[in-house]
Amino acid sequence: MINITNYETFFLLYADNELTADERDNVLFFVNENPELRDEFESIISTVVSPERDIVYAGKHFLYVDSADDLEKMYSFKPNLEIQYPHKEELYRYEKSFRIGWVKSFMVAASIILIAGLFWMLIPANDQSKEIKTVANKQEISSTKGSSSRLKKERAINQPNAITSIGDKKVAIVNNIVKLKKNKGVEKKIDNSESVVSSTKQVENSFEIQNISTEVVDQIMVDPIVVAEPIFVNNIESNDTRIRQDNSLVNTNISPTRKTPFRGIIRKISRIIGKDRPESDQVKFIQVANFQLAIAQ
Amino acid sequence: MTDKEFNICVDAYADPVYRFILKNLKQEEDARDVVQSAFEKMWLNREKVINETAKSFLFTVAYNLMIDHIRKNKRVQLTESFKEEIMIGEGIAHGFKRELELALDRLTTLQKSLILLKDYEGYSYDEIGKITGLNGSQVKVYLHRARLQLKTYIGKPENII
Repeated sequence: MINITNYETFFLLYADNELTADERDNVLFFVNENPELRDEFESIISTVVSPERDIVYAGKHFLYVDSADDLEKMYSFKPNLEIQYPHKEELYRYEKSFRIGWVKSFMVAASIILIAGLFWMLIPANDQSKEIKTVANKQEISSTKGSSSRLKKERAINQPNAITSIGDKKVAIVNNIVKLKKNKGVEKKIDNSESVVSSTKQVENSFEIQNISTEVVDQIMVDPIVVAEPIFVNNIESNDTRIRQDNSLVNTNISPTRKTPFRGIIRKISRIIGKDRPESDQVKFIQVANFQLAIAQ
Repeated sequence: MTDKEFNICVDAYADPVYRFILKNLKQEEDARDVVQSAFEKMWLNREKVINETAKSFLFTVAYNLMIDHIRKNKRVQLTESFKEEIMIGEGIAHGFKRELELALDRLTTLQKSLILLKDYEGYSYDEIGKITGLNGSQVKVYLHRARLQLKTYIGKPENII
């Protein structure tokens, strides 16, 4: 209900035309009873803006639509394909393509090298067996010949690091290299292991080596024996005997002609791959490069 | 909405929308562009718009287009506000109605839009709220504040002949 405290709100609602007919009558009645508020009421009513009917939109004919198809044509455009850019050549760009031709050739070469290396890795085992046999045969021959030229032997002794060239191979014998203690246990061990100790056995049968084995030198000087593969016998132990060879070593250098950078790679590979040999060898050992470490069974 | 219904809407609502926009922008060309864009939008959305909501849709789109136009042309509005001072002086000589228009121009765009939508088109608070993005209570409060500002401006003796 309108009163002296809320009349302004009712006046504004009256101006907004938000009152019902009864409420509008009540407002008019309130204004008549309070003439001092009439000016305020009229000032609020005067804020109502009457629409100007004379203002019309002149561009209605642009908005009319005859049919939907016409309007679709109006708002749709088709490209004029005859308009072409004249200098397309200047816009062309070419990126540098990645050529894989050399990669292919490199891969083929690498695979060939790998295959050849794997094949090459198998050769030392064959050479070793052959050369061990050669050592045995030659030592037998040398035993029959007996003591031949002492002069050459002495020369070999006088030259500790003498390198003897045999054919296209060289055999280096270093002083105090070969220290083998004659022992029965060794023989037993040698019997059990063919490849490693066979050469030792042959040597033991033919001559005894102490410190500098002059017989070996003589043998090597007279009969060119090639012990191509280094045989490293270290700490061979068994239940029956205990063999100590105090870092005894039979060291024979490989022919330099066979040393190639590629062979070094193969050696590294053989460290990983060639640890175990097939059981047909009947000797378990670990091959590190050209050195074979016998494993006690 | 068919093309016939669209044409009926053009006849019925083009003038009110144009008046509403013209009163706010004070530029006929701009007002025409806004009206044309509003009808174009309605045609593009003719599948969603029905006859009952066509008027509200047109006013809503026109109001938003007008706000965008005002934001883009604020610098131009400053120039126009300078002209307004001149027009105020001219308006004094043309009576109360002219004075009311000048007072109306002193309101903000929102306040002016609320008053025009209320007085020109007779929309309710809620309908105005849908057009302007407000709720009914906000429209009522803002509208009353605008009327009181108009009353205050008109009530000053220096503004009344």
